[in-house]
Amino acid sequence: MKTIPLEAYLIVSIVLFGLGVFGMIVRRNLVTVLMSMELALNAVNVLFVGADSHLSLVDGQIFALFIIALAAAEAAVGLGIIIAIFRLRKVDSTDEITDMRG
Amino acid sequence: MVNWNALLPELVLSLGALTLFILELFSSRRHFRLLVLLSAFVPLLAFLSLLFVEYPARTFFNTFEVNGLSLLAKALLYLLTSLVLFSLYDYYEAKGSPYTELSYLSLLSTLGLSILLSSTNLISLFLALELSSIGMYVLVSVLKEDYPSKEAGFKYLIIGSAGTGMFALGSAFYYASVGSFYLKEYRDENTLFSLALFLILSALALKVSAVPYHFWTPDAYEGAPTPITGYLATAPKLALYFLLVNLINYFSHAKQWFILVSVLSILSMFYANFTAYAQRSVKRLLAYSSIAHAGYFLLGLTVAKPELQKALLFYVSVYSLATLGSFVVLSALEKREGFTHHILDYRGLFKEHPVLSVSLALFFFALIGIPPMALFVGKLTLFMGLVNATLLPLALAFAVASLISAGYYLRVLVAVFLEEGERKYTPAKVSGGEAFTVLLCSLLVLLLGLFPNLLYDLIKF
Repeated sequence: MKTIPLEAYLIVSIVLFGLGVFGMIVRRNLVTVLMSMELALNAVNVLFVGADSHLSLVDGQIFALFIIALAAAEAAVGLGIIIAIFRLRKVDSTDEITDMRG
Repeated sequence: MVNWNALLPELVLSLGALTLFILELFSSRRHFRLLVLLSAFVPLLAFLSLLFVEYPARTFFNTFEVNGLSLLAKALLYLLTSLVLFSLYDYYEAKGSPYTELSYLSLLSTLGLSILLSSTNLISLFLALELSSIGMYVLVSVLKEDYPSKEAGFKYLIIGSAGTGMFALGSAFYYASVGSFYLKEYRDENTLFSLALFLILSALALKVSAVPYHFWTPDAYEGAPTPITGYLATAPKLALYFLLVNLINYFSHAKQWFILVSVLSILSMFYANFTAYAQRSVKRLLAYSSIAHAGYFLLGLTVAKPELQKALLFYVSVYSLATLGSFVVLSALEKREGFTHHILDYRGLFKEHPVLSVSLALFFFALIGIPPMALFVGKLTLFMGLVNATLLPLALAFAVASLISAGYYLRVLVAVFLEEGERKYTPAKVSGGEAFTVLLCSLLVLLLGLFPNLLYDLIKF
């Protein structure tokens, strides 16, 4: 059986990570920005699992589990802040939260 | 077998945080001051427990290491946290947002930073970094009916989690090339390892707010409640520089380390020192000052020489005292009705609040690096370390950048002492906690300037 080389995992995860970061920059909706952040973090999980199968170890999967938990915690805090912003200002776009500049 | 003795200070902190969490369930907003003052004693207890830790020791499958340097770092960290907690209650009461959650959130952040100082493994490093950061995202955003704090919190969260992503991707590359998460010297310099080094260093540079990863700093510092800004500007910085000094032993042999660190530091020094002149808000000006200082500190990490790292650690310790002091003065002033941190509001401050003005002047003179203050000793030893390491261009850049920075601190002091104010504010009442923190910070800054060996001899490798 032919196994998938490590390079393939690397390329997939770097492309996904790049898409996530790109989304964080170009997306305007606050919730979509959070979703892009999740995509970037999950891209790393792909690489961890790929590296694990390449090295025949399990450490990477443990790290991936921690990342999943942390991404959830960060999303919870982020959604809380978005709700607080929406209550005070009724805005949901990154274009409109630019009071502080310079 | 778990060596509980090595974990003693972390146990005290986490039990303290849990106790406060339970107390908070049964108490109302009226007990805000009591809870916060109680929480200020938890880091002090952890500080005392450091005396009973036997070192060097390792535990948790060698992921947690205690040595003399990490104990010193923890002592300073607990001291700073306790000072922040002592000084914040009056500000929150004046702003009408007595959130009792503050008491344990800052303890959890400190717990994260404390674990960070002892980590020898990328997994625990990552978790510790996130434990501290998530606590801080919340701390930045909790101020009632105050929009800027929410905006600051969101920006900090998004850019901070981009940093998290970079750190995680860097760890993945490190794992794929080294085959383990333990930090160790790795001599085979392939592309994967270079990328890992670049990403991990970038993520840490983002957390210490070095240019070009500084975007969050001015906004987060300006929007956050002022006592929390004091926490943000000191405790994580202190912990991260101790961590970076730890990392330099593993990574500094890589040839891109020197280039990356010196580029980061030169960019931070000059960019921040020039941009600070354009600021109208004093709080934001201090944020740029902290970016500039990140540049100075990174100079101490360019090459692995104990002399240089000792100078850096001394400098960062006394810098955090001076910065904390100036932010506490700012938060005492902000309690006055209608006061913003615009530089025009600072005119004629000396006539209304001579004591606060003089202590602000003391901290600003310390940040410039005027001789009797401890930061002068830090600057001088760092400069001499760079000269002795034959890095003359960097030493020269450091001296020029420090010189440029003097102007913007002095501009604030001119407004405070020499100009006449137009508006009259209700005088600010300085709470006992704030007075205590300012007094202790200024005393320590002066004392360590006159007798630097008190701290300098404790920094051992």
